[in-house]
Parts: sequence; structure tokens; C-alpha cells
Amino acid sequence: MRGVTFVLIGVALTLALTATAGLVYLRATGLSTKAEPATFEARLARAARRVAIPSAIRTTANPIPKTPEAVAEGMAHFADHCASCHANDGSGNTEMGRGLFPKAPDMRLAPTQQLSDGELFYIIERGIRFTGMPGWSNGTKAGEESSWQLVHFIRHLPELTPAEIDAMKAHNPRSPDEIRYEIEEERFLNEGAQK
Amino acid sequence: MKNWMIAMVVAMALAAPAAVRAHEGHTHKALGTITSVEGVHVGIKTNDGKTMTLMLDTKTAVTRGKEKLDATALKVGERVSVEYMESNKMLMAQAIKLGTTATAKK
Repeated sequence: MRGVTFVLIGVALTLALTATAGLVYLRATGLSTKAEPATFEARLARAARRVAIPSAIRTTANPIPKTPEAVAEGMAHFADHCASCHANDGSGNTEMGRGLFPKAPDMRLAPTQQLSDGELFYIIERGIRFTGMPGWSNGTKAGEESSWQLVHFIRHLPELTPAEIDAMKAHNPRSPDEIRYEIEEERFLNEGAQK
Repeated sequence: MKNWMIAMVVAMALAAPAAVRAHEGHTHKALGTITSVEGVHVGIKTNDGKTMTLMLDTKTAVTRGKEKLDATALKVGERVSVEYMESNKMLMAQAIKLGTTATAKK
């Protein structure tokens, strides 16, 4: 009986400590997205992501051949759908990317580049809970092919050229206000040349 | 025991500091004309009549058309399109596009 009491007290203390840690975390962060995840938090999340991705998909090779056309398709798709958060160069240095928790990663670096093709594909298709990463799967074969092309483009990010980044701008989504500003900007900057 | 645990939870929660973080600004754009260039400070009069002083840093991209330039290309009288962000109460220039042909006062 005494042993049971000790176990119950131990369980209660563990629960209390966990609740306390949770409260401290909430108060300290205010659940703001402006903070950087703690190291242990990032490691835990990466480990959870790895466990969550089925091993059969993780080891799947990209079924789309890496041709210049496939990379170009992926590039246009990335500029249109991904660059708002990830930036055309994959750095994550955008207003939205910087404001997310965790911040959009620099996809040119090892933590992204070391993921397998299958892991990248799975993340694109399914998204990642509790981050800003949405799942883009639409359940079609064409959609899956687009995601595999994106995987090729993500592999190409470390060697992206300034000319390619410039070309991607034509595919970036723009609001009516931005389109108006661009027209006004072009007219204003060129007016000086016409005088 | 119960009271002690509740007291511990409440005390630790109250003691934890609320995070106070500087508000990061948004990127803004403006069209205007350079009115002054003093070191890393560039004065702009915008087309809607406002004046502002932008601060340059090593990341500020200065371009004319597709040509990449450096800060020495910024001259009084140049027509510019600027992208800037407020940071630590300063307007940090992220990108400055110059008119396609130099129009600076000589």
C-alpha cells in the first residue's frame, strides 16, 4: 500500500513538473513566432519528423529523370507556390519566412540538402504540422510529378545563378497593388530617361 | 502536499518573464527623388511629398536596370524606387533601383 502511495506521488509530481514547464514555456514565449526554437526543441521536432515519414517513402528515389526541363518546371512551380515563404533562392529570407515558427529554413544548407528525395517529397506533399509548411498534395499523379520536380529544383538551389533568380521573379505571385506599383515604378524610372 | 504543488506551479508561472521582443517592421516601397547623400544616409523626397532618410548597409542592393551598382551611384536628383524596412527606429534600405538613365544634378 505504501509503495502504491509513493508511485502515485511520483506520478503526481511528474505531472506537476510537466505542467509547470508548460506554463513557464507559455509565459516565456507568449507563443510568439518571433522566437527561435530552442536547440532541444528543434532536435526533437526533426526526430519526430523522421519517425513520422514512412521508411518506404524515405528511401524512394525520385522517379522523374533530372533533366533541365524538369528542373525548370520545378523552378517555375517553386517561384509561384513556395517563394512567398522560402524566397526564390531558397534562403527563407522573406517577410513570411522570417515570421514563421520555426523560421523558413535556408534550404541550400545541409539540414535540407541531407534529407532524402523521398523525405523532401513527403514534406512537400503532406506538409508539417505545427509549422507554416502546408501539404500540397491534391491526390493526382500530375500533382505528385510536380512535387518530384520540386525535389529536383531543391537539389539545384545551392547552385542557383543570379540570372535564374531574376527569371523566377516573373513567376512570383503578385497582388493587384504590387502590379500597379510595378507599372508606376517602370513609368517613373523611365521618365527620367525620356527627358 | 496539494497546496505546496499548487503554490509551486503558480509561483513559477508568475515568475517567468513574458517575452518582450522588438517588433520587426514590414518591407515598404516608395518612389521618389534623392535629395541628399551623406555617408550611409540617403534623403528621399517621395512622389507623395513625404521626406525620409534611409540608411544603407552592406546588404543594400543598388541597381540600375539589370546592372548592379554600389552606393557611390546614388546622387542627388536621381529618381529612385526604394524598398526599406524599419529596424531599431531606422529606415534600413534593402534595395534601391535607380532610373534607367542617370538624372543626377551635376
